Amino acid sequence: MKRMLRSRKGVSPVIASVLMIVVAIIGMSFLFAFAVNYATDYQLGRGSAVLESMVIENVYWDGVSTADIWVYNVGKVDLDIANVYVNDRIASITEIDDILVYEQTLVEVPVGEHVKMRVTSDSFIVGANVQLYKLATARGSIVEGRY
Amino acid sequence: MGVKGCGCRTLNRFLRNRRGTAEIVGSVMFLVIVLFFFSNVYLWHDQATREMDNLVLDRVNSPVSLERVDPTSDTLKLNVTNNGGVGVRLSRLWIITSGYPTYEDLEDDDIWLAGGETWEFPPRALPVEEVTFRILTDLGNTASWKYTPTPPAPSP
Repeated sequence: MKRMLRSRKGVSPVIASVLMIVVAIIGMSFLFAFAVNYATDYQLGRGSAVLESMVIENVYWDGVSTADIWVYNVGKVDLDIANVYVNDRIASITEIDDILVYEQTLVEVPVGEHVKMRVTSDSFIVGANVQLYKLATARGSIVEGRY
Repeated sequence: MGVKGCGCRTLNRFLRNRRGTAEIVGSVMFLVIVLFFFSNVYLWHDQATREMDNLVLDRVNSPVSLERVDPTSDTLKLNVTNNGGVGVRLSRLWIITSGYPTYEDLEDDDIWLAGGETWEFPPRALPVEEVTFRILTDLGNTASWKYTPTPPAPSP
């Protein structure tokens, strides 16, 4: 036994094989971690954009610079409204469900829920009957309507 | 077999030659592993797309209409009918006037309309001004009906 342990014959092929296995395991671990992260990020992020669906159920415009927009999430995932556009120009969200908002924030709309947003903008066409509203979600879906 | 140019010897030599076998086996294994990872993402995306296709299909197959039942009545009786083959649940009834709009929340009432069914709202007093009623279903379909009050007949 001692002789066998002291013998150095064939050590380098064993070390080479062990090193090769270690390198392969480390490489595959990195690949696996990347693939799992990629899949998770994709499913939670932009991949879920296909599961988003919402409708603008009503809009009330005060005739000057403020409009209340009611949206309804009919999709399969909760969505976040990132931006509201009035006549293709970005508007400021000032209230969400009658609660004042002091900085631009995402408007969370859970599945099957209604949310009311108040937006202000100087791009309303005063005197026009219809304005174009566009809502963009954080995942990139866009819903638009003329009211 | 003995025929010149049949290529059998070349094929035999090619099959017996083991040079480069490890590279081919390694490449195939790598491709199988990569395919395993990304087929997972593809299958999930495919399932999500099918799910949303079904939702859109349900929405297309459940159009609703809103109308007044008895136009000569001194009350306003509204009917909502599911004109499609897929059932829907009523979500909200919007009452849109020239002022700020209001709505009646119907979700707590759990009004389910199977395909072709009609549901009648409780009668309400005739509005004194023009009002648009808009029904919203849980699939996102809407239907509107506008009430315009008739002007009083001129007195003789």
